[in-house]
Amino acid sequence: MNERVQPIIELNELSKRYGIGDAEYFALSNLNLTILPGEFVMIMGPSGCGKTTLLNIMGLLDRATSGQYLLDGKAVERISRRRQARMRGNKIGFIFQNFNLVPGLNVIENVALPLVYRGYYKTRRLTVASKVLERFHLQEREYYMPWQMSGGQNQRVAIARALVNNPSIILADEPTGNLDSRNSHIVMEELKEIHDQGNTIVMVTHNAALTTYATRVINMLDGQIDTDVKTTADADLPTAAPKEPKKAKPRKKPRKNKKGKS
Amino acid sequence: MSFLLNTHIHNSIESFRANRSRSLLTSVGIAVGMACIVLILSLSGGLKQLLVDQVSGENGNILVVRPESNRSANDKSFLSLIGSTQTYARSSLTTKDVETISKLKDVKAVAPLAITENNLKGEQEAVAGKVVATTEGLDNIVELPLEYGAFLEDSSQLNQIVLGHKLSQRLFDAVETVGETVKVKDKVFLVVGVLREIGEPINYNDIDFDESAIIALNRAGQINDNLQIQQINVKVANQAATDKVFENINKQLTKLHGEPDFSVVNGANVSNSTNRLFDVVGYILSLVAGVSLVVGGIGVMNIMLVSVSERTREIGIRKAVGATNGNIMMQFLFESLTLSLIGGLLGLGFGYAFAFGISSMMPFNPMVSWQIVGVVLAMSVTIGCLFGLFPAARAAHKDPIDSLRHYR
Repeated sequence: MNERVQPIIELNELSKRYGIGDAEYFALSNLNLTILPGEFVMIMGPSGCGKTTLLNIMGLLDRATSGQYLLDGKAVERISRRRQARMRGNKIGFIFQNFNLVPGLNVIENVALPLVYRGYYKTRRLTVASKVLERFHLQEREYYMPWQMSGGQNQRVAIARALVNNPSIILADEPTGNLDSRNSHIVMEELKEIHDQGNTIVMVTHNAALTTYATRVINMLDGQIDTDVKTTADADLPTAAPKEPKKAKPRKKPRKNKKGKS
Repeated sequence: MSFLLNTHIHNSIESFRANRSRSLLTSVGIAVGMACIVLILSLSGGLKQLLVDQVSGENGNILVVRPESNRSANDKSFLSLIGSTQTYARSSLTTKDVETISKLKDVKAVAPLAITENNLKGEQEAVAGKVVATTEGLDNIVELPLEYGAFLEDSSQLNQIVLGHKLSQRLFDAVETVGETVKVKDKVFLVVGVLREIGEPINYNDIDFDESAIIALNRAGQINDNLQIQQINVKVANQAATDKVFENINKQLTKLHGEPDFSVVNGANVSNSTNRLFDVVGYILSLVAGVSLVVGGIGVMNIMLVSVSERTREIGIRKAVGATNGNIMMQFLFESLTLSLIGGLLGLGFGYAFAFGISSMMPFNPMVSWQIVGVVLAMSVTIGCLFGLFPAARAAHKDPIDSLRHYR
């Protein structure tokens, strides 16, 4: 498999600056990263190293200060907020540490939420959502409210919501951070299953034990990639551009404040 | 791209239900103002309708001629509106006009009205009352059912008088007073008839017939040298001829007077001159009610701001899953619209309930019309949009990352 495949995410010299003047610091500085379809990338690193900022930028919730971001081969760093929102709805699935289900909506409505903004009609929304919930063995709880269920169940609902719009990439920000080890395990098994079905996942975590699930582990430090290791020699994975393996490049811009934001 | 109309409507109703008491109280704030406006509009409308109905009630064949103190009929300034409802210091109408009109083709009956305030003396002490000088044609034009006796006869050589029901009671403590005599300014009048109680103090003649005495115009000179005819009522033989008679009166009287110092009105616009004052009062009251609507609107804005900050996180989630700023804006705009529309409908209900309650003590019914419903709905929508705009814009421009990190 030597032919070059289209990377899902390609970041070139990406920087994100916070603050101005004396308070200026770079949460990300000249970061390069390419993520290929089918990868399960885990991003680790101390708090403040820019993991969440990176995830937010990849999720089009935030904009980089400089650099290039190609999502599915399209430059997205300069598109309008409106188109960014549409892209979030069509290409990206989010999983959060604190589940972030809408408290006033029941399980199936929460799962169907991304489809609302795609303009699906209600019956179609609920049919699609119901099918996804079935995959997570939650179909009996479709009409439960989020507060009636355990943390693990809530997170599985959140994963179902992230999957409902068939995203190109799933971004997970410490999805097991609020869960006990048993529920963590269940959630990770679900993520692994999704990955096995061909989805691309980028996950931020503090828990080194979870790296066993990943196909690629990235360690970040001070807004740059420190190490980038492929953990499983996955023969099925397409090989990427000759840029790999990536190594941290020397910092180009001096930072006055090294304290980052997680 | 669809506008997600169904979803927004569904969402706003759900959110209304989720915060039932809070939303309802806010809506009641709107409802109070709306109820005031409905009350004012329906009662003043009912009043006008009453007057129009009296004139055009049977066949729409009555015309009213009134003197116009202002030369220009187009002058509709505020002061002239008020002036037109007062008794005229100097009326331009004369007995000659009455004769001219009665000779016109298709005119069935003519009744001039010259109203004076006089003291009437019956058996006991003098009583103040209105004396209406007219002709026997009045009986033909205005329905004046008699309890006892008969109506005036123009050809009679006697000083005849017809008493209103209540006036008779005040003068003689009795209703059957035919044959008694009443002194008006030392002149003796013979009571020939007593009217049945009518109970319509408001009519296009500006006369409460229950409290009035009616005498013949040709005898009125005895009690008042300077008699002013305030209006001439004309009954047309059939409705089809009304327009023609209308034109003829205009033409003939203009020729007589040399200038159009009078106005002829028919059923539809009879209330214009007598009761435009009601309109003005109605508008001023509506304006006051409008102030309470503004207060209600601020209530809506307040609750919407609370709702937006309570649901910051939800906004973040919705944005993360693909909602644009416009989507969020519409969602909250629909919520404030729901609040104000429910308030408007409640106000419509309250207002009419109150209007019908009041009208049970009044001689007329409140006006029920789609215009009032339209005004209420339009105002609700306007208030909902106006006062929902700022909170909705605030919701739409929240930063998704900060919103997602927001803890309650």
